[in-house]
Amino acid sequence: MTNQTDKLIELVNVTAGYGKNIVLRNVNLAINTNDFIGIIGPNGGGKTTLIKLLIGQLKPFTGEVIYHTKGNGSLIGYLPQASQIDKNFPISVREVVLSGLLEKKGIFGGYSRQQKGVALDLMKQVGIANLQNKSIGQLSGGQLQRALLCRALISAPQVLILDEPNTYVDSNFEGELYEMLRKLNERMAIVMVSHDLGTITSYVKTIACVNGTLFYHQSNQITNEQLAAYNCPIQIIAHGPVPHTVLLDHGKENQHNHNH
Amino acid sequence: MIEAVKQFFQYAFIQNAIISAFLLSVITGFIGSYIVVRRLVFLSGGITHASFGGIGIAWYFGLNPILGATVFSVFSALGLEYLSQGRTLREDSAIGMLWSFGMAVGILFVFLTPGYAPNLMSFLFGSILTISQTDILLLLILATLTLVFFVAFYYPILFVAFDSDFAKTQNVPVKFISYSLAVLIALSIVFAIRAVGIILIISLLTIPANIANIVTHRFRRIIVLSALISLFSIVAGIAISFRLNVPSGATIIITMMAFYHIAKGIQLVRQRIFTLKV
Repeated sequence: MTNQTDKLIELVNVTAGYGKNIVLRNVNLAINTNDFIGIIGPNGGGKTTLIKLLIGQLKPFTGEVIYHTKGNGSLIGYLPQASQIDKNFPISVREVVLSGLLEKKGIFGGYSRQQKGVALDLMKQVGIANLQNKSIGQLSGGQLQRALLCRALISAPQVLILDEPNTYVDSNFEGELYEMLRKLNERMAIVMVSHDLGTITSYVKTIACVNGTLFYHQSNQITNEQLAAYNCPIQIIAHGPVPHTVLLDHGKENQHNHNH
Repeated sequence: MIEAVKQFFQYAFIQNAIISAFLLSVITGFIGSYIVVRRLVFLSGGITHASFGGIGIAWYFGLNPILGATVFSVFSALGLEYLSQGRTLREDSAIGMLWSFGMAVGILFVFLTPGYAPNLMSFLFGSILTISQTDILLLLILATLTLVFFVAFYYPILFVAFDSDFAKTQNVPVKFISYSLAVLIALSIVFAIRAVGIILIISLLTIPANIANIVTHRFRRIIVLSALISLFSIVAGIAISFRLNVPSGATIIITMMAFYHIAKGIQLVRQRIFTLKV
């Protein structure tokens, strides 16, 4: 389904951690155009470490992280957990959104009228246009997360990386968020970390289980038995209209790594 | 009254003090705002006290103490910035160790230096009234450097301070910005030592920015406002200390804290009125 040129980010035999602690061993993963990968796994299993490797914040001990940049869009749009943001920081919502454009704007100078227009459009799409001149301290957790989503999207990235996007989002925006991601997926690859396997399986195309290493599951349907086989003890929480615990006979249980 | 004010401004040392107050305000307006919003106050305290080690060693070898302080503070700032990028050591512990180690080295070398150390008090508590032409020139250079750096890199500084992980994904030169600012913080601390002293420097870097942050929530405005508050507080503090014949450094800080409480009081009253209206 894919070929060499479609690869956007590749992890090749990556082992990584902090100090002397190894958190992830021998991880192989390729993120391709149109992928929608859900990353699941227990706390401390290495989900955050995987994200840090993907966004280039952490260098692997061994192995390689390869970025295939092409075209003129930026490669990565990143949505951190809202809890990582200092809410007392003196910055306005519009400044936060525009900060996603820094790469293109260069270091000097301000933002063009056109860039401000793009920012406003995005804020309208997620329903925070009326808050654009507020400082982030005045926002709710969900509103802040939407602002951060706009920041991740404004550079029209080829890969959108989302760390627990549903943590703070209010339930009536959650549905909208996933629909939005589904549409965005036509234009960009999406990698999403989530605790909520139920929601993940409704929207993602493939699943990566991270617990010390990474098991790649070529489908969005996964069973408790498979999770156990992947050493990925996660409870499947059923909600939403799609059945989640589906026994599949796709013969791919043993396919651990992402082979393209 | 007017005569007294005129007389006050006629003294050359008062004029020097006011020129340095202006330059210090520019420097601390930028650097203090950055330190406060990025929560680096404790780190700055560590750098300040570590620099005393440099003063002590320079004193012992008969070198310029400010030179010694510069070397110590720049290296400790770079070292702490480096440590904060890894996760191997608790950052606050590293600061605490550096803080006390610097002070210990300083005290030891001052003790070993034969003879009485008459100017030592001026390093601990500062004296903006005895500031020299050289000190003013150094402040001028640093103020210009800081101004140029912040004007040129305003957005990268803001975004690195706000979320450096994200800035990295946008190819912002996070390391360049962080290390440059670490050096600027160290230099501001050293050059401000002559004016307010090691013990009191942290106040110049924190109180005005915090007063400004009560009034506004925009980084740009915090910078400008905190510079104005610094200038006003330093001049008012000098005038009061001159009148009462008390140490200028301490008076400046007490003046600032008075402004802080006034600002907080006004904010409280306004919130009360606002709540009543609603």
